[in-house]
Amino acid sequence: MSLLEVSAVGKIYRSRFGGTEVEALKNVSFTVEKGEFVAIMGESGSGKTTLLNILAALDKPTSGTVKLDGRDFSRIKESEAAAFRRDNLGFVFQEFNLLDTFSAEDNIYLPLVLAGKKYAEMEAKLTPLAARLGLTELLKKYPYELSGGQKQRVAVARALITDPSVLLADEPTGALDSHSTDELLRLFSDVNRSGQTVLMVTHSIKAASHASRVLFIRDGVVFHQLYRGADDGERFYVRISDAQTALVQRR
Amino acid sequence: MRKTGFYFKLALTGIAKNRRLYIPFMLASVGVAAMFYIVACLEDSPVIIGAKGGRTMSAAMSLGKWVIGIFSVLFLCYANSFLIRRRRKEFGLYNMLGMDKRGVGRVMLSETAVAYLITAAGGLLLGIAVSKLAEMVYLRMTGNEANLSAFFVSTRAIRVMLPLYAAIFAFVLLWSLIGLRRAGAAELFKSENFGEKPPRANWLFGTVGFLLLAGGYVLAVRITNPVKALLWFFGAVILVILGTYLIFIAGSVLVCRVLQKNRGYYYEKKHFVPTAQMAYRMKRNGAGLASICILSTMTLTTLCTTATLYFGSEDMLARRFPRDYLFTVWYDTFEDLEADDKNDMIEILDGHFMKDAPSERDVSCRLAKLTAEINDGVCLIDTSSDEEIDLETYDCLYEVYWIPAEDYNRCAEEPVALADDEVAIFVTHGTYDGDELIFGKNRYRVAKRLPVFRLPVSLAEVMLPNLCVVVNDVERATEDYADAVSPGEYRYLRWMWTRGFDLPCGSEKQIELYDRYRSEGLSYRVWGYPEEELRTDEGDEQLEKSNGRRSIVLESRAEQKGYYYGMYGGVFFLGILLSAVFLCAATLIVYYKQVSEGFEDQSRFDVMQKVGMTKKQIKKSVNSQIVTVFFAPFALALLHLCFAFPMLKRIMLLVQIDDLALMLLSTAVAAVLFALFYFLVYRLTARTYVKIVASGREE
Repeated sequence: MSLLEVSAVGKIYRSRFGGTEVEALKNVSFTVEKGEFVAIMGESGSGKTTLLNILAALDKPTSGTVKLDGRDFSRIKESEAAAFRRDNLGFVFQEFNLLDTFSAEDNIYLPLVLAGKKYAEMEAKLTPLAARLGLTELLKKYPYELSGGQKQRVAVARALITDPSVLLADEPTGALDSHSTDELLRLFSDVNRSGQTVLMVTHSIKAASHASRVLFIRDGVVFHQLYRGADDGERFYVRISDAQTALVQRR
Repeated sequence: MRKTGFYFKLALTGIAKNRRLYIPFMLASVGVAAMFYIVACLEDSPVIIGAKGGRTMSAAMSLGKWVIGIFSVLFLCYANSFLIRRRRKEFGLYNMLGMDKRGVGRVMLSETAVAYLITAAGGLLLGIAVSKLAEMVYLRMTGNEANLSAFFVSTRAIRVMLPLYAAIFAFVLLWSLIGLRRAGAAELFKSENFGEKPPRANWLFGTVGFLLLAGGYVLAVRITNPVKALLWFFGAVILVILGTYLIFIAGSVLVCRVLQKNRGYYYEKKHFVPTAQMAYRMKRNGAGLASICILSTMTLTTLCTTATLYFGSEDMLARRFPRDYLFTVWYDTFEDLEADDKNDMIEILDGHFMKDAPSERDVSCRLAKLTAEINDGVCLIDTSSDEEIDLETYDCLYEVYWIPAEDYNRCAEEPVALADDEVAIFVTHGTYDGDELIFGKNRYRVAKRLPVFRLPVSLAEVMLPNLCVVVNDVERATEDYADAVSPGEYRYLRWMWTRGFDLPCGSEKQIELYDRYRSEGLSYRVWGYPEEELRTDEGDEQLEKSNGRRSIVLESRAEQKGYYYGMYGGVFFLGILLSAVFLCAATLIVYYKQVSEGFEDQSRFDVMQKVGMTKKQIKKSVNSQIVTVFFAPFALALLHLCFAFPMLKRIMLLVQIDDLALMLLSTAVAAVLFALFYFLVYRLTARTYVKIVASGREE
């Protein structure tokens, strides 16, 4: 059984009075195995954000099912969704989404506090994680004192501290400079090597080239996919680039 | 010319787009301006000046007018700074798109001009419309006849109001322009953005705030001397105001930080988010909340004291005038008093007042009066100062009255039987706890404390407590004071003969009789002038022809009642008007607070949801914060009021109000009314908050 099974997911947005319909997702099916690093690529408007929202249980599909560990959460209630997200998913966003009222440390603790954990337990989890992400020195700082790259690392720590089944990343490098981008992608690879399943939505070829598999999504369907195989990063980059060019030309 | 039109247009669209901010601002400024006009108009209103107590009222209104004026400056500055802060981004955008600062300044100028025009026109219209109503309410409250006919528009009030508000708006504009000059374009554009520094716990300011407040409270509770209380009241007020501001701005952050240090408390699901966000909320809203708190306290204290004065004036009147008419003759010595047979006076009074109906409770008595200092029972003439009451000795100063037991027993319902070395005493307000009273070389034991004192004597005319001493031999009791200060000098022993009586003929008739008594020159006949010398106006030069009578006074309660109600009714009325202005300002600040919090919470709401909080949790957490922030100023205002209460109670003693029940009642009623109003404001403004947060989520 795969860790994540997405089968025949469709999503139609209706305007409030039922006038116009927009089909954001037509029929998306794919699976993600445990320990995979999957990148989902697509142009703006391809439906990738809709897909991610559905995977994050922030939105519900109009048709189809999404199963995590065999459990269908696509029809989950809003009250359960929050707990589900907290227990199973970790999020990294383009805009970091750190709460500026918390120090880095408290931002990372937030999901654990919400889950009702004791301070000693939280601290025991944070110390090794912070060391791994190079955050030890930054824990007492506030978001306004951190650079973009640092903020994103704090966000990654916040996503990982709950030991989620899947780490969901939405354009995580979108707001970063190239140096920070490299650093973050290396971090994702590291995390993935240590067994963490990662699902990343991006339109950056560079970001996608760190993944073990790339799904191309266009017009609401999975259009194509590429496995990294034995390629190194650079070769995979070229293949992704070629594939994308081909996809655009075939249009 | 076309350019001016352009800026003006931009200003109008600016206002229209920000109507959520501007409409309440306009309403509040129109309200305050209207109130200014009303008060200024009532000051000039011929109906009011002509009414009983109207001149006092007019003077009070003149003062009240400037209180509102000064308050308008502070309040409009505050409101404007809020508007500008919200709109900086827009101005920054104009600047980035190539409009220079001069242009932005012109937009601001046009907006201020529009705001002024609306305030002036609206304030004037509303003011004129409501001023007649206010006038009638005033007349009604002060027991005057309501005059429906004359509609008075005060051109003088208009001539003061229009330039005053023009000046205030000009000042406000100048302030914004200076702020604009200082800021760079990028800064303008950015200033609404997130990522602000976390508020630092300022130990110094926080602690000083708590200390100042404690100091103010201690002052309020510890000072028992009413005169000192009055003097120190403003000291205590300033301490409490400073303390309140520091506590809301720095102290609140400090408390949050201390809580955050306590891991067991802070890293708890319920406390984690609220504690961290509260510090920010307080940093942003601290000054506004402190202002709300101070305004609330002002409203509450104003209402409670002026209501107590108004509703206590009946009591004051009864103490001051124990009978419908009070006739007092003053003598320099006991011999003069005894030598005067008083028959001529009695005859004239009887002939004039009791022609139609017999008098009731008609009694007379002799008294000696002295302002004295009493230490450990020893009564000394107070010669420490001339006209003023000495603060340091105030606690032991009394207005002492000696009454012969014979006279007392004739007047009082319950006679007293005293030995020659015994006295019975009564104290108006304040107390006398000693068991002994020593008048010169004569020593007396306090044998009885009288529960009531219903003699025809006007008590409690001055701030001092009155000590009435019933004694068998008045002459002996006062013998050592008789020659200590020569007659005519300040604080010498004076003698009086008083006669008081009621006339059951209604107050109008009473006033008529009183007026006739004065206009027909009866007072001169009472003095003992021959018929041919009677005059209708009073003259001091005739004092010497008086058979040992130094002065003669006839007072009518019915006639005085109008002045009492005129004065205290006017004070209460003004208190209500001022409270309305304070409430108006407090409401706007509350509203702006909700709006700014709404905008701040918009983005936080989203992030919190993404990191795994349910909507319910977020709502709960945000609600708890909003409620805390909202009701904290009210709670502190109530605390202020509780501590101010003893001090106000003492100050009330100065105007002879010693009625705890009445004061508690007016305070409680004021507090309940205020709480209802505040809650209503909360409900209304909370809706705006919810709307703003929700609109952020849809985007």
